[in-house]
Amino acid sequence: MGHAPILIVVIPLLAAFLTHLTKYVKLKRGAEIVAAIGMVVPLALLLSLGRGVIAGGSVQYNLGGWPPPVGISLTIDGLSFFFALMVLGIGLLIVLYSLGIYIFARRYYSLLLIALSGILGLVLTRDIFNMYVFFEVLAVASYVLVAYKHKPRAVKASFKYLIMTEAAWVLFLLAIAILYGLTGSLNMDSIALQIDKIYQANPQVIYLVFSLMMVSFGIKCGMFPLHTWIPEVHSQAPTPVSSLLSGLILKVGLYAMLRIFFLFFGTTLLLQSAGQLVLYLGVITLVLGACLALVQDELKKLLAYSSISQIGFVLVGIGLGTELGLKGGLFHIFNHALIKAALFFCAGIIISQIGFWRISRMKGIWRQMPGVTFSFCILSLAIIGVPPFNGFVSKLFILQATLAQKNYLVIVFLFMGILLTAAYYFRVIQTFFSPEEFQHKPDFVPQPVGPFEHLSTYVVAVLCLLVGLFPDVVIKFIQPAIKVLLP
Amino acid sequence: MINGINIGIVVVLVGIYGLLTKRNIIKMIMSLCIMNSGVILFFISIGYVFGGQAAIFEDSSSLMVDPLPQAVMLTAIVIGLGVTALALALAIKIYDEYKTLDTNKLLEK
Amino acid sequence: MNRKSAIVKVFTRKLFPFILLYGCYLISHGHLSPGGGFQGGVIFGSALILLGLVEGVALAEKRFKEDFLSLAKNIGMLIFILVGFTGMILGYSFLSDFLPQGEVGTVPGAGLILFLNLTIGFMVGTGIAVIFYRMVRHGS
Repeated sequence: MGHAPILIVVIPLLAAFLTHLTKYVKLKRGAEIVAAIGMVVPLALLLSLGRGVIAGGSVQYNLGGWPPPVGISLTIDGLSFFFALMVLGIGLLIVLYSLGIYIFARRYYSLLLIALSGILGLVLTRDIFNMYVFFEVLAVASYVLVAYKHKPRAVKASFKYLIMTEAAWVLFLLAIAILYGLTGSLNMDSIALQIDKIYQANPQVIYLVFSLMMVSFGIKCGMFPLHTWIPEVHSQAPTPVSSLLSGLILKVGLYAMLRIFFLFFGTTLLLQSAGQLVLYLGVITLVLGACLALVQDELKKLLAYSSISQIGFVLVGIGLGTELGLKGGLFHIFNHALIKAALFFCAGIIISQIGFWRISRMKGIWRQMPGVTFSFCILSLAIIGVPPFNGFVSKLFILQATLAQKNYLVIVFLFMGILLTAAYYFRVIQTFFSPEEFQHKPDFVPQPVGPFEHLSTYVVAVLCLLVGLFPDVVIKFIQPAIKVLLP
Repeated sequence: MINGINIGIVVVLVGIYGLLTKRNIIKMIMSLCIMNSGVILFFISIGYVFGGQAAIFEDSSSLMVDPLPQAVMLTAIVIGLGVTALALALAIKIYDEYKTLDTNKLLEK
Repeated sequence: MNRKSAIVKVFTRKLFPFILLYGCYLISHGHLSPGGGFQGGVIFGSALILLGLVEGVALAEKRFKEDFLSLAKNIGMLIFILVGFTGMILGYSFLSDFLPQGEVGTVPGAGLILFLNLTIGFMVGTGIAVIFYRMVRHGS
């Protein structure tokens, strides 16, 4: 299978346009079938490469037969493999959840597949401008997905998301232009070879490139001063789209940060103070996100602020730059994608059943829907970091890495973040299990919720327990990624 | 002093200024377009060789302009068109719902 | 908006095929002179927009139905990807040029680029027309 890398990117794109054509075929649920096939086939192709990549190898593919410095090349190495596996797994979960609610919505599946194909493309590509193009493909698909139901507030949120993200990508394009002017190449590997020499001659220009990229990736992943689009967009988007945004699109910024910073600035800037910048911004992000989540009364907004806070944990892991810190950061990326997607599913089911957005009106709903509230509890325990679940393992790695650097101030803030996380999730759980009788909303007709929605949350709850008990399975996938970042 | 690179950066800064200060949705979209144009001008100027010609010729002795920035910026222009069309569609939708394009008034609603 | 100038109406009708022809020229000479798939496609789409503005969207939509344009756009994208796959099946990599190289400076001289430009022009022209229809029909 020499053609696997391009097939992984192109098959979801092909499926996205085939879903529109199911209109002309008399097939029941044709769009869903095409969407599922369009994701299972790339997953199988990716897994067929797994053995070689985990052993430390990489698969390179030249588009059009042109070798790397001239043409665009796609590479699957450890880091790309880890992220691509996560994208396809969460993508399948989202399709599973959507099976019940979006019946016959061809455009929804088409946009979802385009977005996933964009993420897969930017994870695999080694050409920096191609990365920008895939970023835009992903971004344009996600703007439409956020405003998919034409609710007025969702349209407003989508516009805010559009303005902030487009400004970020223009700055990224400016950074690409400066790098091209300096090195005369768009291939990441050949830029990385020349960047040390440029840093010796003229460090200011490298600072400029670094700060432009920091702002654009910071907007994408929700770093502290640039997080303002997240709560509104996450809370107003349809439920599966919230999972997509929180589970995958925030991780895209983190992937770009890991890949580009460690490849370009790994030997120059990160050894100096740049890593500390990411670290302390991460600390502020995690404490601020947790504090703001504590005062929220809307369930989905609380989950959105919780996303910001967990991204802070990952940024601390990345900013430390040690092997243990990166291990914790990557593990937490995986855990957060899994858990937060499922938490949004739970919130979506609860809201569609009772019609209330506010937590204070959800008193005693565990009698109405015991299954969903129980899996919400397990998932929130997992994300707090209670021992048998997976969140514990990744947070332990991050704490150990911080302890190894003897950075006691950061440890205090990390503990504070964990306690605040516990505080705001326990508040929700307490409301769910309140002894008061649940007050129904008058003349509200609950939307029917099928077995697929419940199934997707239960699957993740079981997965959390399994990953928490056997973390070595995931760590086996993380090790080659760390080997790529710290050669 | 007055060349494509400097003008391009100035245009990007004008766009950022507009994005930060203007509170009208249409003007914000225009600022995004201005930023995009500035980057395009900057990138094209990097690849320009004075007196060169386009890279389609039969003898390879003459001076030629770097074709890569032009190809790359063509892609960026296309993306800019798509994003602008989408932003305007959202603006139409917002105006339908709220009857205003002022973001200060939108925040209150 | 009821007053329609006869001159504009007549000239649009006469000009319409020539604008389409100019779009085709730009698409097919994209590898030899300034132009190419996107630019030609935009000219193509602007011809449809001109027809819609002058004759009214209802009439333009009667000639060029939105369903048909949307289908054409999707099929154009599928053809692009399938052309890419063809190179792969013939033993090269994705989107590599499997056609014999012609003489430099002639229209068929560029191998696969001509076909890719044609599909792109097709997609862009129909896509722009669909965007225009959606935006205009919204107001009425």
